[in-house]
Order: sequence, then structure tokens, then C-alpha cells
Amino acid sequence: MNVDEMDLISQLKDAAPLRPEAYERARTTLRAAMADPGREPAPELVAVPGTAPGRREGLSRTRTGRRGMRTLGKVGIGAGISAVAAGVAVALVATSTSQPAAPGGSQSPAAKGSAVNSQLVTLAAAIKASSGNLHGNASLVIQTDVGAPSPGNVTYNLFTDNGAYYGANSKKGITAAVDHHQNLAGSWLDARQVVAAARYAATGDLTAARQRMLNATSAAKQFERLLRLGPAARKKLWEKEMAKDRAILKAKHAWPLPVPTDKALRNDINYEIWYNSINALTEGAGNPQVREGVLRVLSTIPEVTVANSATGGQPTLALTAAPALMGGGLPAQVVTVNARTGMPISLVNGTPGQKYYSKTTYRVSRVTLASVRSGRF
Amino acid sequence: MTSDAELIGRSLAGDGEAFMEVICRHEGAVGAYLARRAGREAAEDLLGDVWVAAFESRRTYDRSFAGARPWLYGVALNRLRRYWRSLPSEDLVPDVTSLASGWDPWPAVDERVDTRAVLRAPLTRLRPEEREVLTLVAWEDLTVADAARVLGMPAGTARRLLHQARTALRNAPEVAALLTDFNSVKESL
Repeated sequence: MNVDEMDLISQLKDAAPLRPEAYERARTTLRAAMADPGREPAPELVAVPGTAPGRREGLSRTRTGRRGMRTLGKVGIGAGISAVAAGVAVALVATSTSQPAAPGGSQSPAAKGSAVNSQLVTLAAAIKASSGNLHGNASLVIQTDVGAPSPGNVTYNLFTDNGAYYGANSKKGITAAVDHHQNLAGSWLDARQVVAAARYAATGDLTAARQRMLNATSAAKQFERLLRLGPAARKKLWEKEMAKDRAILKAKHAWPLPVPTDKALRNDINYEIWYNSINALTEGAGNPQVREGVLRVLSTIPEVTVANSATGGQPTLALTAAPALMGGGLPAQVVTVNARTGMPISLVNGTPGQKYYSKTTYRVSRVTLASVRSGRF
Repeated sequence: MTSDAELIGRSLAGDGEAFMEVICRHEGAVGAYLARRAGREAAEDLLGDVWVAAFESRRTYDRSFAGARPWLYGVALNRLRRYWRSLPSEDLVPDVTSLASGWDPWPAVDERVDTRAVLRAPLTRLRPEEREVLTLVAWEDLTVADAARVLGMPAGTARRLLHQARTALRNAPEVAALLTDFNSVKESL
């Protein structure tokens, strides 16, 4: 059969796949919008090709913080403190407990010497005891979406030890990406900072490790700042910053928003630590020190529960981040790891035992860049 | 399986999970659609906005169509247009083959002949609406009628635009040479 012009155009359809967490963020943005009873339905005009450009819309090219992305889409760091924390209010307006205000780091269970999840600490110690020399100079993480958003979708992620990242949808594609030096590191999803925090956590002080993991998201500092303030000062700062970002928040249909409670801010801080830790685990899993550090950090989050499970006949641990941690009204997130090595096996967005929204499985191996370039892996 | 139209109907009656199910069915396709046109980073930023816009405008959904994917592509295209308008003029790229910044798909396709470079100029010469129909059919595997739904135009118009686009491409010297090259290689095998 002859090749025609449509076949040629079809050859250009490949694009870098969206990461699973991007789908999760988008769904979270939608859930926040759906939960806002004040939203007025707005008719969506059908796009008409070639229409004249109108005024510039508020889609800044500035990268946004993940927390902001989680709750308000494009409104994030660039929009200031209120936009970041507005997400907390949208998601956690119903929570209200009164606890002494203090930074998230110093309030960690580790710092107070209580409630650290011993099962995770035990596994972390076992990883340390069994880890030997690290082979190769890169970790290959093959992700497969087995549920929504795109079942059967496979992503080859190659993280080199010196910080480069290559991505493709096939073995041939990852080989070509390395061969053509298509290093995609440096984007806002750069894993280097969270992986470094995890490595520190393997041997360092847990309170400091939590803080490093938290600091990997710059927007998180705002939550700590708000948490330090007493009720009156927090309200004053909140309203001032809200007023500053009124236009953007209105555009995002996120106005008015109440002052976040202590509990909401603590949950938010712990969510950032969870989110960054899971990123470190899935992207740096080839290194046992990263797995050990991640488990130690996760052991300090009270809303993370651990249950024994089995996957493919192997003993596993199911680490569940409670819906409260995820922002209220959202499904839980369950990360399953090998019970002996801590290697990530799957990530599920959904309440255990119920229908899930997405599921991704992971296969992690250590490789050399040269072996990937030559296709021998 | 419950149709998208039924789920949207349920969501209008207050069942939020029904709309989430519609999103889960199509998020991979819509995500890829955005990535092909704006690159991965921008696509990841835009996807949430697309869902919110779709949710807000679901009353306008024509429930005589069982499947919502073309409608969602239309919402996504609207958001893309806003995004492109928001970019500084120096960041605007002149043709669709360069839009997926940060990602060069070609090495995964074929390392010997740079089809992408060859197609760039002929694609740029197409009218925007011709290019839209062409890529919706070629990249998103839509029928011409569904592409027309995305673009809010009669199916006959979309059919004409696709025909014009294909003719223009086929007649472009560089594409003609490439096709000859491809097909003669195949014949000699």
C-alpha cells in the first residue's frame, strides 16, 4: 500500500506524554471547581479557526507551584500567597481544629518523638542493611498506566545520576532520546531537589529532612508563614494578599475564600511532603538510599497509614494517604511498595476497595547510559 | 456502557462523579491533543483549565451525540487559543510542527529522513482551518464529521477543507518528492 500525505502527517503525532501526576492535578482542579457552590455556569463558545486574537488572557508562562496547581490550576507562586493558600481554603473549608500555631517542620511527629510509623522505619532500616554498591549510572523507570487516564500507555523514564532526564513511549524511543541528547531536565518537575532531600533523610535528622522535602516546593513556605501567625495576624495577612490577587482569583472563580485553619495548613504541609516524597520515590527508586529516606520521611505523616498486602505473590506494603491529606473531597492515594526492598510497584488514585481514578505501575532497574544508547537494556 | 451524553445529563442533575467519569474516559486523549499542539509543559498546565471550562459549559453539550470527545477537543482548542494569545509574540511559533516544544518526535519515527523538516513549510502554507481539520483527522483519529463538531462547522465544510489541505500538501514539491521516495523504496523491497 502506498504512503500518502496523511500517512506523512500522522508520523508527526508523537508528543511527550503527560505525566500521571499532571492528570491527577487536572482532576483536582476540576474537583475544586465542582465543590465551589458559587460558580456560575459559563457557556463555552466553540472554537472558530482563524478568529482574530482578542485581549491577552491570564495564562502566565511563569511556572506554578504544585500546590497551586493542585487546587487552582494556573494560579500559583506568581499570584502570591493568597492564591497558593486559597487552594487550601477551597479544599479544606470544612476542617476546623484549634492547635497551637507552629511551623510544620517543628510540629512533625518526629520532632515530638511520637507517632512515627514504625513499620516504615523498620523497612527503611532493612533497606540500609541490605544495600550494596550501586550498579550503573542511571535509573530506568518504566511506568504503565493500567487504568485511566490511558490504559496501556507505557512511559520510559531515564533518570541519570548526574540529573539528566529522558522520556519516551517505547524502548526504541528512549534509545533515540538518549542518542539525540534530548535531556528534558530543568522543567518544574525536576526531580533533583526531592531526590536530594530523600537521600539526606536516609541518614539525617528527620525534622530537618521533612523541612528539606517541604522546601522542594517553594510555595510551601507560605503555608508555614501563615501557620506561624495568630488568628488576627493571619486574617489580616490573608485579606491583604487576597485583595492583591483579587483579579486572578476571580478569574479562577475562587472568591471569596475563608482564612485557612491550623489543621488545614498542617494537612497542606504534610501533603507537600507526601507529594514530593512520592516523586522522589518513583523517580529515584533505583537508589536504595532514596527509598530509605522516603520511607523515613513518610513515617512522620500521621495521615499516612500502612497495611500489609500482596502483589503478584510478593509481600507488599500499601501506603495510603488519607483523603483529608489530599485536600478533602478527593480520593485517597495509595502507593504500594515491595515489603522487603521498598521498591515502588504501583500508584493508585482512589479509595481502597472502591473504583479508582487512575493506576500506574512501575518497573525500576539500574542501567548505564551507554547501554540505553545502544539499545541493550 | 453508559454514554458520555447520559453521564453529562446526570451531572447536570447534580451527580458530580458522573462528570468525573467522562473526564477519566477522555483525559488521555485530550492530554495528548494538548501536548501535540502546545508541548508537554503547557499541556500539563492547561488540562485542569480545560476540565473546568468543560464542566462550566456542560449545559451547552448536545446530548444527541453519545460521545463527548470531539466536544472536549473543542473546549481544549478554545483554551489553546487563549494560551497562544497570552504568549509574547517572540514565543509564538509559526507552524504546527514546531509547537511541541521540548520534544522532537522524529528520532522515534525514523532517523534517516527528516520528514518533519520537509513538512514544515507546506504545513505553514495551509490556512489555519485547513490545518486544524487535517491534524484532527490525522492525529486524533477523528472522522471528518467529528472534526467538524470540534470546530463548530458543517461537516461539508470540514470535508472541503480537508480535501484542500490534502491537495495542497500532495502538490507541494517537497512533499511530492518525499512521497515518491517513500513509495519507490517500498516498491523496490
